Amino acid sequence: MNPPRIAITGMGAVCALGTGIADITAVLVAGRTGLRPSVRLPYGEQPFGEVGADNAVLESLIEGRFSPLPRSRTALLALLAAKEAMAGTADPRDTAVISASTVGGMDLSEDLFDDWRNGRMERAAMALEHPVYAHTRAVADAVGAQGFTTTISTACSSSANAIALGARLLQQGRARRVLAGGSDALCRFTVEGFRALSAMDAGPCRPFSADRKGMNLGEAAAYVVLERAEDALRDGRVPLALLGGWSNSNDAHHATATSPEGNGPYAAMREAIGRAGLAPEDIDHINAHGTGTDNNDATELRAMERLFGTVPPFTSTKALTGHTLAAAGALEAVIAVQCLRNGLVPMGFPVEGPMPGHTAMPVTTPQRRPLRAVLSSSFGFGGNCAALVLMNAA
Amino acid sequence: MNELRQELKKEIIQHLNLQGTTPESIADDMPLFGEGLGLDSIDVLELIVLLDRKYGVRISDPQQGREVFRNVTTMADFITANTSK
Amino acid sequence: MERLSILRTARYRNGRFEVDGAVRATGTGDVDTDLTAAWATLGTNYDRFHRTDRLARLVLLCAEALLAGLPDDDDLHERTGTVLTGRHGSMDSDLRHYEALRQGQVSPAVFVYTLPNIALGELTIRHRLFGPGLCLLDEGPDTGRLRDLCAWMLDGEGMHRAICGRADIFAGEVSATFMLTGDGGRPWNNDEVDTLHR
Repeated sequence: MNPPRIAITGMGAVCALGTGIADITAVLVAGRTGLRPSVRLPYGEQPFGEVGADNAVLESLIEGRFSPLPRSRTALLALLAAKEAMAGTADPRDTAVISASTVGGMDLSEDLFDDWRNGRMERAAMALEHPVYAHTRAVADAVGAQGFTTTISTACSSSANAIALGARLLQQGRARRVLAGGSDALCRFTVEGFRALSAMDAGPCRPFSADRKGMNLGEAAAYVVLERAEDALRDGRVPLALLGGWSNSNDAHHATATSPEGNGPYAAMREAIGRAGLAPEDIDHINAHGTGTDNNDATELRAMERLFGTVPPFTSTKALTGHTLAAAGALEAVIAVQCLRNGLVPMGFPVEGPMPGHTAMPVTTPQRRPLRAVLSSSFGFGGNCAALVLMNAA
Repeated sequence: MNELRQELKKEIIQHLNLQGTTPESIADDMPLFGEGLGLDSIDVLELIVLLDRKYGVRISDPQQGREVFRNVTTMADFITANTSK
Repeated sequence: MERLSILRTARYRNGRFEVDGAVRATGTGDVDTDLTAAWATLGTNYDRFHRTDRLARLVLLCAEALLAGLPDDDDLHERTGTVLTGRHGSMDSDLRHYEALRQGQVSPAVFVYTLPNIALGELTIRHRLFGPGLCLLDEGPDTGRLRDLCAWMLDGEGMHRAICGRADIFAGEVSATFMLTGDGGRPWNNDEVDTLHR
């Protein structure tokens, strides 16, 4: 017996491209980047994929009564995106929530740390909101979900894993509906860490370019609502897309570098495509991990060449949104769905030629054509590799 | 000059937490990366930090770091060349 | 769900290290000394252990005990899933990184460990485990959830073994509870798992 098909029936997102799916899609279609100097953090001209709204604005955008609102930006972003995703769900109660984050409430804690060390009142706020799982609870409460909640933290592949876990639980009949995704806010804790790793480009990142110099960090929250397709149809809900395949593999090479042959990425992509019942040539477009670092882009392209031979049109939208860490998997899945629905292959950074030792180049002009299947890749520190296959519901 | 090399060996062991390694076991020209001491890309970054904080010598590009940190001798030479009289 | 049986267990509580219920080391009160002493009882030769952070050392220690003596074959490398859960995640390294940041002395090596799944990554690197891996944070331990996760790895992902570990380091408390699940052990028993995790 075939396992039940998984449908995406709701989506929500906020990132540097905009607040909400419609805004984000418009900017994507127009081909504009969201990278710009930060307004909130003191890093001069360093580009970031920062959400163009401060915390007060985010609070005002979160609809409905929810009191008290969390103060962590990670949680605020999450609430905004989660509420948008669940807007079309009539009865949210029988929903499980799987969310992912690496920062958690650190954006709040890093400001309150002095107060906490000096024993002042803010300790309570920090203690409650700091844990990475705190934002998941806030999301569940805000959308009225009463199913189980769980929080995933696997670096850059986190929210892709959240989506995969959600699909698996639906197939096992362990949930009626799953809200899956992730959130990470920009904070100094993270920026300073990546600076120490010499992982950032001081200018706009250039994924898959011969002269790439590193990543640009971003912030975002993105969620999808997953249901068994048969349940959705019975309720009269038209799927936005189908989640055809997913996978997870360990590269098991190094904490911060992928193996030269891209073994983990290769295995993850291959398995996700296989699980979708497809062959590599059925993939019309790849939303690559494409951070812009020397190691990732070379190893990822190597893995894609090994798997596909002729690599289908591929893009790193991190050139538009920045690397949104734990939110990346879900944000890029949402972008992939919008590409399917709009027949769009977006452009990331327009490279001038292939990287040395390769012939494939990412898309340098946006394309408009029907798409049936899109692969979205997310490869995290620690060698955790995830891949999703999104398919047109039509 | 030999003093600097000896000191560097101790610093490397301490800074990179190489328990079980003695300064005597690190030959002056022993490769620090790959075969030899077996350091990795994060270690390059840590050594860059070490050079900056302890010896006041800056390396801005990790690629340059690979050359400087080839072995203890190249490290010592680089420090000496970049520290004023 | 016939594959879900428990093959081996490893347990660490503030220096007291037990493998399948047998005590291998007892604590002195110093976190680093105790981890090193417990590791020494395994007689293993993997210097990288000392270069990782405390959470990774805790995870490496328990996994080493779970996998000791198993054949080093494709079945191990391709068919072992890994699940790591915990409440405080990478808090130990988070605090170190934060202090370093405030003093203007950020260490790249410390920052790497501010992601809780790096400990899991170290485990997979040490034993060359290429199967799926997941790291979850919750207030737990939740026996039902652990059971679901192991079942997912074994049935859903087609793994032959699943390492299910829970590790926490915070405010001087160091604890870990690890199970090796798969075929041919004793059937999963909720009470046993509850007790193991206390």
